[in-house]
Amino acid sequence: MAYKNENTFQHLFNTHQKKTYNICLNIVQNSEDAEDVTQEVFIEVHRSLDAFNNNAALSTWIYRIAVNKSFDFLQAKKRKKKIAFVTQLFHPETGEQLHDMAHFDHPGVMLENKERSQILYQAINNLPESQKTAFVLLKIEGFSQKETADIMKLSEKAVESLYQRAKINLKKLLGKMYDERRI
Amino acid sequence: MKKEDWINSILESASGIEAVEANPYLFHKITNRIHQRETGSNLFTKYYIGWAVTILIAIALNVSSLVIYQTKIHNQNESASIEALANEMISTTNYNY
Repeated sequence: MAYKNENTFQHLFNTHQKKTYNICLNIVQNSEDAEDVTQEVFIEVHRSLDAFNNNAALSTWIYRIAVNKSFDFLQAKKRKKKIAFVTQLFHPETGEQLHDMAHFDHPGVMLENKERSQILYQAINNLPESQKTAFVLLKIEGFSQKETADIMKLSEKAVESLYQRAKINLKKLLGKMYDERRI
Repeated sequence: MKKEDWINSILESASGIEAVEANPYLFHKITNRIHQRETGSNLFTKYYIGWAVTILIAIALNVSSLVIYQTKIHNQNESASIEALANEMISTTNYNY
């Protein structure tokens, strides 16, 4: 119950919020959505801290929740989109397009890299869940292979294999995009 | 070659993505939501406890009225049979010599 003390929870939040938010941001690819998911992550952390297994690192546990909540959010969003596709994308009165998932503008990217990172995120979105997670955690978030393996509850070998497959698939997807741009 | 360079430059752009800060009010939003949930769940619990107590009282009233009714009927029957027996005894012992 000690964790439920507000000061302790705040300390926990301050230590892990930045990394958690960035994991969510790189997976959901929208700043407001990432904020919502981060809120969900810390509410879950607050709720389940008593059940937390001390054998695992607290940070690993929080980042795992972040990954899972982000993919849950994307699945829920997909379902909603299927139900009300047009109203989701366009403003009901002005008819203006609200946001385009295909062109995510990451706030942490330098101006000269904006276009390239948009293309990269577009390609990442087409990867299977596990490959996307491995790529985001290893390549963008800079976690070690061991940390990534712990977060994903996999062996380091499996993570390496997922990352390599992600790279191969990204190269294929980017190759297609390059050809389409040429046409 | 040009295509491969382009692909590699896109892949390499992942290394230049800096971590960003979240909304500074995020913690307050989270604690507010936690408090709301706790209050909400307390209200929810109170609501169900209220209904459970009402149902229990209704059941207890029904059972006790049934018991009282049964006891009354039983007592009535008993007194009626005693009365009948008494009448019979009166009629059997009332000899006219």
